[in-house]
Amino acid sequence: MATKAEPTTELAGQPATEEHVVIFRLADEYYALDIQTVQEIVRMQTITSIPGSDLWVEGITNLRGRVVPVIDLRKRCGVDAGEYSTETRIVVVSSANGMVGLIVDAVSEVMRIPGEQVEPPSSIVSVPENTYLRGIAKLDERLVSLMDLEGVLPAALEDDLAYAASRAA
Amino acid sequence: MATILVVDDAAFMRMRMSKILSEAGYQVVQAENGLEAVEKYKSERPDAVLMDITMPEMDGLTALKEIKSHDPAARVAMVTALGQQQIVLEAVKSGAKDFLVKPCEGDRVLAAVSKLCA
Amino acid sequence: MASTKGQRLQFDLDDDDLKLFCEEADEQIELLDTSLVQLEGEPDPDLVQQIFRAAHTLKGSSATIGHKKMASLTHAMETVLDAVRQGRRRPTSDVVDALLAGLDALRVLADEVVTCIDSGIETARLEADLHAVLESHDEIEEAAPAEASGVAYRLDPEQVEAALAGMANGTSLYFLEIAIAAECQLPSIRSFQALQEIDALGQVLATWPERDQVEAGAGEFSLACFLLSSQSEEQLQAAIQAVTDVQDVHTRSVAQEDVDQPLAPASQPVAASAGAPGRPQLMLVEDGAPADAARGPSRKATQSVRIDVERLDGLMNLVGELVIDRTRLQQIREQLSAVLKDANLTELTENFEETTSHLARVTDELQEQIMRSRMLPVRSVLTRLPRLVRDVAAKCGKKVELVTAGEETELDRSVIEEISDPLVHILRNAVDHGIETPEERRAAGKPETGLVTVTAWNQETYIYLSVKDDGKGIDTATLRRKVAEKGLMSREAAESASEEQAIQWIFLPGLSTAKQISDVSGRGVGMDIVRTNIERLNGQITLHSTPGRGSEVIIQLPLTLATTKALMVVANATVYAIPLVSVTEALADHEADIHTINGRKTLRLRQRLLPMIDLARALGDGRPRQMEAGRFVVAARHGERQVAFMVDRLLGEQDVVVKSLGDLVGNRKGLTGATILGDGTLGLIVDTASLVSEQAALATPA
Repeated sequence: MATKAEPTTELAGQPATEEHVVIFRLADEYYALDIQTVQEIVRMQTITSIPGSDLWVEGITNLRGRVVPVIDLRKRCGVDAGEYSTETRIVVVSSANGMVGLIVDAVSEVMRIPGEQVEPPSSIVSVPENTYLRGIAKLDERLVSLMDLEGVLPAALEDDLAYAASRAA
Repeated sequence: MATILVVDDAAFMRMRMSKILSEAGYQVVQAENGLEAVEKYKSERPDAVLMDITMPEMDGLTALKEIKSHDPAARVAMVTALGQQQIVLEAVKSGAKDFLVKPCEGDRVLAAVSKLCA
Repeated sequence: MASTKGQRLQFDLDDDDLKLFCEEADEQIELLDTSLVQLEGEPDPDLVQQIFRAAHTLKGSSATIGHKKMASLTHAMETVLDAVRQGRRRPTSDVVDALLAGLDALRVLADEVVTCIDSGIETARLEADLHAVLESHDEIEEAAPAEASGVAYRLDPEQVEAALAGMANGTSLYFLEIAIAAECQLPSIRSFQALQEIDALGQVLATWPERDQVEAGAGEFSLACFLLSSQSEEQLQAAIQAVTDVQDVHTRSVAQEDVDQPLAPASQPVAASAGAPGRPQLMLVEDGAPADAARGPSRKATQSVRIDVERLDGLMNLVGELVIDRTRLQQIREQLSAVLKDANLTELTENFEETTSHLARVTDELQEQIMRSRMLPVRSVLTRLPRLVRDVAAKCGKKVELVTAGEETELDRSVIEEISDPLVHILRNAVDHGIETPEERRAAGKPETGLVTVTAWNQETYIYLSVKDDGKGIDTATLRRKVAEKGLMSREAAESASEEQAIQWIFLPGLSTAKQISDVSGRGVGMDIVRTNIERLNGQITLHSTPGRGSEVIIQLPLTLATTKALMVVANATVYAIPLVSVTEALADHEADIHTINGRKTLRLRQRLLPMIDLARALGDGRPRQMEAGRFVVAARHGERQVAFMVDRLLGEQDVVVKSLGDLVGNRKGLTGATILGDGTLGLIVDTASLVSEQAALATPA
């Protein structure tokens, strides 16, 4: 299929550890996702909530004829969720469970981060459930958390299933 | 390079034959039944024809006769399976130059075609 | 015999070939599957020809990829079919059995091409059976053995005259011996071709075998002849060598004084090729049928292209988008007309209106056409049934005739895929439990052979499938006893229920009326599962039965699963689609006869009391109320159960395109999917089957 992302490729002559990422903001924190997982970035659009979903499962939305579930990353990551603004975006990613939209406060840039600037997450912060962080990059004055997409999502799936099971019981 | 008309109702056999022939540099035209073969023969003027026998719409023998009546010099080889001896014989009597027995190995096909085109 | 099971196999084909091979093999196997059972008795010659051709094609392609087992088995099947085709063997049941057994093995062998792993299937036995079937009634005349070699060749006096006359005119007399290559598969035809060449070279005086024999296809690996020709020996050799598979041409010039002398065959290699060691023992199936018999039946070949289902789904998605844009455009048009009416731009707005309405028509048409391209005749399901009935009937020791009708009825491929299992189950039931044994039938004054009819038809946007048998009908006495025994209801209630009601208990979970769980109908899968599956597809299943006369099961399904007709409602600011098939009534609150019974709101509708359920809440919507619930009531049913959903607003009926909620959200209880609304936002499709059962069960505690 044409839309399928190519497997990660490394350009010749560049260090293999370089990270090519999309950087986005949740409240005043910066996060990054591997650009290979990002399908597109769209403006905030109408989201239909699904009754009984977890708080941070915002609902589903229509992405050019496809029904795509949307997660509010701010709620998922425990960041204060303010109002949506004109900068609010849905980052559509391709995950093992299909396409998923992630609501973020703003998308700031796409960049390459040299591997030596990335440190394991435990060295700087110790978040108890940081399953979705795979590293922290120091860029000038900013700290950017490298997010592990599948780490953000499987938990969502499991929680949801657990929820569904509790309802069914 | 010569143009060969491959006639077979089974797409797999057509593809197989076409592959063998085009890899050897022949131009290939395909038809999936006798009727289409006759039409293609008239429109494409192939140098030789590889004609399957058992086909829907119009069988290979009838198609051979049609083609021969249209062009007595037509160079047609029948492609047959065991068990069709009488039909092949009839075809040879009706002007088929040669025949090939399925399964058709590549070199036999090429030998037959180069002989037809000679 | 050491098993080769599990060994890796290698076939001579690449990925492209593989796909094509599999598609075609599937097609031919399918064709054999559906038509072999019709072979028995007095088959239609066209059908026989079609079956023969399917086997023949399979043989050709399997041999080409080097699948020896498959080629060999198909050859054996083809041989039998050829005998049938030529009327040399009547297609009795042993013939059909042997062919069906072969067909089953063919499936496995075709799979091997994909898996490249030896399934270990043994075909020698099957081939022997096929061969035996042919032997048992073998009426084939043995082809006369080819002219024995070693005989001296000699012209008769008349021919001697002709030879001498020719030689007097300056032509030479030659004795030619032609050997056909041992690997040649149709040597008699090569002989004939050689003879054709020789004819062109001069005057042929005598041939061995004789000319008519050669022309009749009796030639073998050698040919000898006397020829009067003005050509040189080299020229003769070259001309005859041009015939494919001519291995050797031996020429001898015959002197005038030797014309009447017998000639011994040249010792090498001609003599060796006839009957000497090393000659391949090729089994040739003599095909004595006139050429016309090989002509295909006048089957109308439909021009078709195979399209990936995924691609079709993609097209459907795109069209769905177009439909939404069209709706949007129409809304904009209305707004524009309102705004521009005063601005004296009538020409512009008219143009715009024309264009949008044209776009609307085209879009609708496109949607319709794509929908149609997903439609398949139900035949593909029905044609599997004769084999099934035949097998089941044989196992149960019953005689059953199956009649199918409405094969051309079309339905969406998604439905076809889903309908097969329930249909098979119902049919098994009909044969296994419905139809009586021949003895029972005779005792009941019925013909020994039971009749099962499967009919398909369209009505509005639904397809109906009926399975009807002339068997003994549902045994309600047993059902009543079972229901009470299993504690599903009291003995009194079970006894006092009407026949109509009792018949419907067949759909209750955990009831099997067969006295013994038979090998045929299997364990555990009952009519309750069938009903659940049908209802999951937004379908309905009904059952009618008359004791001693038989039963009829009717399945009603939407034509497609891609779209469904639904009643659109709003509950707590969310749009829901309730499949119309389950909606019995929709009415405004103030029209409804609402009571409070045991503290529960209850709707009284047509002498029934329906528990009233807040739809949004039942689905788990815990958000604050955006509007007072209960302005409208939608009565919905699932089987015998009914509930009334309370909603805020009714939006009307609509065809909705069903979309999955996606893996992440998963199969959420109470919802079957989502649909795109006219304004591009999403509505949720209610799973009435599960919601009604759940809520009805909650409302009526046992």
